[in-house]
Amino acid sequence: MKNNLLLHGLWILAAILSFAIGAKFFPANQGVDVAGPVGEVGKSGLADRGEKGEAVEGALGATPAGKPVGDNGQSGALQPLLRKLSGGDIEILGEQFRKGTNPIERRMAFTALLAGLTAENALQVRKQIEHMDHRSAEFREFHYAWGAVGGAEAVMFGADTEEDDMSPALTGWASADPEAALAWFNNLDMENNAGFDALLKDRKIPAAGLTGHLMRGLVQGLADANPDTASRFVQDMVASGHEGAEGMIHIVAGAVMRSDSPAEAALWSEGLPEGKMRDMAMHRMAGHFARSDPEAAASWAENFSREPSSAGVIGEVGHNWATRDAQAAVDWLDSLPAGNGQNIGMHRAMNQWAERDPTAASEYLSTMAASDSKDAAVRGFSSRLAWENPQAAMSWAESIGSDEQRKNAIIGVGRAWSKRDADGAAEWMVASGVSEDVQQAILNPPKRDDNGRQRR
Amino acid sequence: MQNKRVIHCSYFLLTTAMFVVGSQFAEPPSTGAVLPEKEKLSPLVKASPIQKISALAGAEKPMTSPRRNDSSAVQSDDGSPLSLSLLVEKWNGKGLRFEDFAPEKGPLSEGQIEELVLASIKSSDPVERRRAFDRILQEMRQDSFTVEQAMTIRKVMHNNKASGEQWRTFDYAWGANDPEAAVAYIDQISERYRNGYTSNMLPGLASVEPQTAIDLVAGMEGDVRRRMTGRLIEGLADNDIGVATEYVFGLAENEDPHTTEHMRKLAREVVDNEGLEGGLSWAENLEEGRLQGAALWQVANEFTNEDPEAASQWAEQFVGQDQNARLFGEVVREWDDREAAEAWVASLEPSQGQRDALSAVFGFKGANQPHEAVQEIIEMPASQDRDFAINGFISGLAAQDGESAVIWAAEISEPSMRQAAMIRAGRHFFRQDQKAAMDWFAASDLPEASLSQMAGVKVD
Repeated sequence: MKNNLLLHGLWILAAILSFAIGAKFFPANQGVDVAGPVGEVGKSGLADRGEKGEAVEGALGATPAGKPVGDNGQSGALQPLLRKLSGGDIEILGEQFRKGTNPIERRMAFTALLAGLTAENALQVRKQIEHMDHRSAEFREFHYAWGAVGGAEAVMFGADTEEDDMSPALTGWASADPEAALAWFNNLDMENNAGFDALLKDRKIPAAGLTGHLMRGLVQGLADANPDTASRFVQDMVASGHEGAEGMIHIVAGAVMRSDSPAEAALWSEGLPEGKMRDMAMHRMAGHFARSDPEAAASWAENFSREPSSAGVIGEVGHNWATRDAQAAVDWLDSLPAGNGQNIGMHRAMNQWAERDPTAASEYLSTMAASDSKDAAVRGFSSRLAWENPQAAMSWAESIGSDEQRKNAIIGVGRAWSKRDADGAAEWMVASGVSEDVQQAILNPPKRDDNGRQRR
Repeated sequence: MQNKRVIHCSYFLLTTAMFVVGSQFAEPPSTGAVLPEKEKLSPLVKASPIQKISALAGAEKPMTSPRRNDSSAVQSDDGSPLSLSLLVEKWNGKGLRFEDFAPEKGPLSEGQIEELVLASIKSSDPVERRRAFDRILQEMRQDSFTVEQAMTIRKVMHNNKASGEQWRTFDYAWGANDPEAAVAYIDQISERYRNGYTSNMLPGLASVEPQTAIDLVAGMEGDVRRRMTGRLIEGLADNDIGVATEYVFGLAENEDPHTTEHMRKLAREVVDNEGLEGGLSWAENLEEGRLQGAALWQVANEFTNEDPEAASQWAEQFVGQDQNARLFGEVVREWDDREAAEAWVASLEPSQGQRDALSAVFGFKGANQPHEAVQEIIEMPASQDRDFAINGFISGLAAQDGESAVIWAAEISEPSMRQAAMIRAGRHFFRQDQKAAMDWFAASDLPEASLSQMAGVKVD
């Protein structure tokens, strides 16, 4: 009798354990990808289309074959779809993408195409999106996804097309397999590779320009995979003398800013090796951080107030804080140790304050003791005021203590005045008795090139 | 013995069944959030959309039902209290397990929504961002989708700075999937965001409930109404091209001053939705008149961009139809091959369309080869063609040299065209050199009232 009870008890316990194990470790549907995009499109359009709907249903039930997106270790969005799109499915989804009656349907169809993308069907999928502008998100994302599954083949496909598809493909490849993409790039010998003839010989694109273009794509992909790998690569390029390579740290910074909080992004930039690249990254992060939380950004920036190369960080925080609360920004700047950082910060903050509330800004200036920082503040203030009230701005500029700062401020205000009211500025020049070289500097401002940069 | 076997077999079956049942009850493993059973959601779910939105936006008592992911009560920018565990957080990189969010597993929980929205904004992988956001859009199509879920999405999007494109898509989808709630939200959203929200949501609403959307816009005024009408037309076209066409013709009957603009907008939508062939067929079959002219003008633009040679041949069927003259100029303006465009214009028989095309040829030259254009105009005898050539020429020239443009405009012999051209060129002149332009105006025979059109000043 006792044995019987024990037996029943053990079986009941086993049943309960089975339930628990099933619930905990073997959830139903696990491993089925988002029937998501494909299923959704079917719901919204394809399933209602009779014979076309059948084709999709059949395809959705098929077993995986070929190399699905993500086979190369990519996680997340490029996980395998576990269903292979047939040629018919691709055509139907493409039709839906091009002619869907609303933007949501078109979007879902596109996502379904991406989710079912393999190295084998990529060309057929590309036909469905080739009508898109090559700058569009869809065009670029397709090539990104193709690069992730197709690697070099996807990148080199772009060598024979008019559109810019090599760079996004390389980005996708580098995001999925950084080592392979890096090795490919480092071993590039475009001049001796017939694959590049269409670009270098027919379209006469300079090899250096193409290398730079591809490098930007590579850096973006490396940054998507791991910003530290990307910044190390940029650093190597800078060390090897690649022109303009420092600027590519902005691409990495952009990726960090997207994924991390502003405070974390700022810390990331601080951790870069000292040099121009780090300065550029910190400068960028300072603005981003200050727009989000100026007080916290100020606490972070204070650490660099004595570093001459990081003065731009103080300036960026001062400027962005002043757009919200100019008084608080200049109070903070005033509390910093004297130096280039404080001066740049004062210049930018007062420039901003002059735009928002010139009266309050001028009252504050009146209370400042003579100092380099006051000179910088007056210069920032007068350069903005010049566009509203050039006479008053000039009076302020003339009050600057430092000879050099005063001269530069007078030239700046004079130029703005000349643009706004040439006759009035000319009258002032005659009456003021400013030196000939200052008058010439006002009348002959440096020309700007096509990009708006001052020519030297 | 036989009995024991039956008992053991029965228990074995029971154990297996329990395992299967257990696996069916499994929760998504990643988020730790409980899938909300519909009946266990906040009581607000049962309320009308208006009540629900009011409550969530703080107009009524905020929701009080306990939620798993409540970590802090947060007051957002627009004052609506909502408990969210993830507001502005670090995204931990790629690797969202989409299978954990499969629709078969039931409605998305608040935590899952937060995770997806966050991924759609912060993931470093653009494809992951897209898929995460698409899963949200997919959820919005479910019957189980609630206003609470919509508000959670909005909050996380807002706090993590979703892109304009994401807002446009979300608002459209809300309008299309829950029109009543989406319309009610117009009164709840802060004024700062109201127009942007309405503009995004309206086409979605119009795509499923045309009349509601039309009525909504009918209650608007001024420039807002004009802009919203454009958005409305997009949505009506998503619903039914016929409904959209009828609506624009109705605007013309009611003497809406912007019908040409609206018709061109509709033509763009038709080409987007139906393709170029569908667009051409639709425009050609419209009732003849000014509105058809506007539609043809727009499809000519799209056609020329795709195949200028074919577009020019297609355009020739409209020679002699004055109301369709502007499409000829459009073909010329959009044709990349200037020589081919000029040769085509020269081959056209004299007509209003040919003159409009000639005007476009000289518009290009005025901007790019002004000296060559001047020489050609000088050699032309006084004629309508010359007037049109000058009219086009000054359009291209005025942006760079307003002073010369006003002098050339005075050369036009047809009085009303001359006056309009002088005013058009005068606008540029005033922007470039106000003092000289005032002197020119004083010496011209233009009416006093035209000064305000050119100089942007009020004339007493």
